[in-house]
Amino acid sequence: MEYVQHIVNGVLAGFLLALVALGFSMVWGILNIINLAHAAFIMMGAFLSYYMWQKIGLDPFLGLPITMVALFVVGFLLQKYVINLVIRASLLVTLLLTFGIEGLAINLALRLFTANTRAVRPSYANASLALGSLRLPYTLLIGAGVTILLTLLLYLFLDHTWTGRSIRALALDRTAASLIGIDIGRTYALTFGIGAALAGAAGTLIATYNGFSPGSFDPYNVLAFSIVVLGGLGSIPGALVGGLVFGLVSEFASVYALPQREVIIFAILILVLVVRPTGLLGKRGYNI
Amino acid sequence: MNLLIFLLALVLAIVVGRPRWPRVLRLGALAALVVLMVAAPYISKSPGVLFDALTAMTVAYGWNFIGGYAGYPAFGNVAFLGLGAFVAAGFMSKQPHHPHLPWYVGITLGVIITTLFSALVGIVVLRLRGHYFAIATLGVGIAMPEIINWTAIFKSFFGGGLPLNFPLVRGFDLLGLHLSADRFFYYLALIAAFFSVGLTAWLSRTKFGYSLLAIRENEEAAEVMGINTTIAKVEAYMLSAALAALGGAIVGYRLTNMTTESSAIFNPINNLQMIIIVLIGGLATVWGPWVGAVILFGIQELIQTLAGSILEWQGIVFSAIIIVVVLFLPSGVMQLVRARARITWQLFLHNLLEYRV
Repeated sequence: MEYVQHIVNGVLAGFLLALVALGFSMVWGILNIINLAHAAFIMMGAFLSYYMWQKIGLDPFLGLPITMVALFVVGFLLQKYVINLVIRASLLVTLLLTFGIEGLAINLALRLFTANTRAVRPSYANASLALGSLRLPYTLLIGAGVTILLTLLLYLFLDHTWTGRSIRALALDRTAASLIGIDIGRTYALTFGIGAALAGAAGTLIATYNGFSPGSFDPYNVLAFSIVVLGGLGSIPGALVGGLVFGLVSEFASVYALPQREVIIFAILILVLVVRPTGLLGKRGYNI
Repeated sequence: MNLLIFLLALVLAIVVGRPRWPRVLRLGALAALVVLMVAAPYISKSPGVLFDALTAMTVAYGWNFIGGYAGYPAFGNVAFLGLGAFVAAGFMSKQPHHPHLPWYVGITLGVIITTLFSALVGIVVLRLRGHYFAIATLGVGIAMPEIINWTAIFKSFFGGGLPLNFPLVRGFDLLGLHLSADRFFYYLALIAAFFSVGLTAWLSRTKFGYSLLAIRENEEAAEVMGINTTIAKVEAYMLSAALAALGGAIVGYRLTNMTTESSAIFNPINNLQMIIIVLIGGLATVWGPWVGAVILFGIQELIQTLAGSILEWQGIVFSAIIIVVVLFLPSGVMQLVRARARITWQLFLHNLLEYRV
């Protein structure tokens, strides 16, 4: 029975990780950018939820749409006026630019908010649903629901709307997309904005689940990357599957008191990359 | 005073690095630069800042091989900086169960062992390209402190979670000449920095240097031309690790007491710093890291003089510099130094708009 509880914990944490990876996967797959500022967006989402909860008592999950809209605007403007300037340059340039944005955001947050650990604790934070001897914390349950809902919405958006289809067209062939009248700069900005909004949602979930400080978000870039690599680039279900696998691995790693989560994730990442390098490097034409 | 030294070191390096100017002038500037740097600890009241600049420069020269010449975006070289420091400390420490070897043996062992370790890492991660390589190396940087703290394997060699101490240096005597600890460390760093410049100047003109550039431009073409790209890449990675370890060991030696939490060692800022230095100066250039380090530390010194304290602002300033340089001067200051035409604001505008959509 104890194992069932661990599996449930791992799956619930996995949904949260899947949401962390979802926006990252989309930006990587469509813009061909490894967005090292992703963790900064997660941090912004966490702080926004925290202050809305603390100052006006807004429930973090009810405030989720506000957080997502705010992060969408940040991401949209950033892509439209900054990253779009270098998007055709070499890989090192986009990596360094997002790296710089991440560093700027996190260090500014350290100055503004200090390095203190905070947490969003609504009244039901410590309560959990009891199923027999199983315990399912409400915050994680709602978080899993949010992840499933957002994944579905993203799928419907990309598959059933013209805007979504133009985003996918852009990922396939930028020149062809521009020939049929898609505004490339705007569509890129839209994609990046959605990625940032999803990161903001992940930040809200993390804030209700864990304590956080500006410095605690750094590992989420490597984590998101690993999940995407494991699940498959540019695949929405891939992010979900990868997240669940990592959730379970982290849970059982802590049960058996193995080294820290980062090391295990890194080991899995290297293993996947080395065992199937051709499969993973198969996608050519990165310099779109 | 330090500001003046930084300014002179910048101007002289620019003269040396400008290919259009007469050879005599450039050699004269090089000689003046050497004299200036040797005399610096006797001119400056606080050579500590100069020491920081020189060690950071050494580490950056290392990164220049893999990130600049070979064009592989390595984001985790801080791992080798830290490993170099910890291995050297493990061999030099006077604490129980440590061999307490002399400093030149300890630092050499630190560099050699780190370089060998980097070869193992390199063989694995250099099979990856582009984004995959960048993130894998980022992971190496994150995992290294955890590995060093892995007491099950290393017992107390790396301190076992407790501080690991280099022997304290009070002074240094060489042929009747007495150096204070500060000056001893300064000259150690200066030798490392000059060694890095010389190594880069030499290797960039060898077949090895050109094969790295060929790999950066087109790896398949390089392979077809008969370059063993795997070996060349691993060698570049080992060089980057060796210089990172050298700089790290010297930094650690001066710091004396280390844990994996020490801000001088496994600090994300250190990881950023080497990349920014190369980027400001210019990727794959001999004098780029020198110019970059002098500018970066000069700016810090300036802020320090004006604002009093730099530490809280360091991360913000560094990140802002990355963003500005990437947007406006992606080829670094050396682009201006090597420019043939007159430099106008249009150059920056051109850089900014060249790759837009």
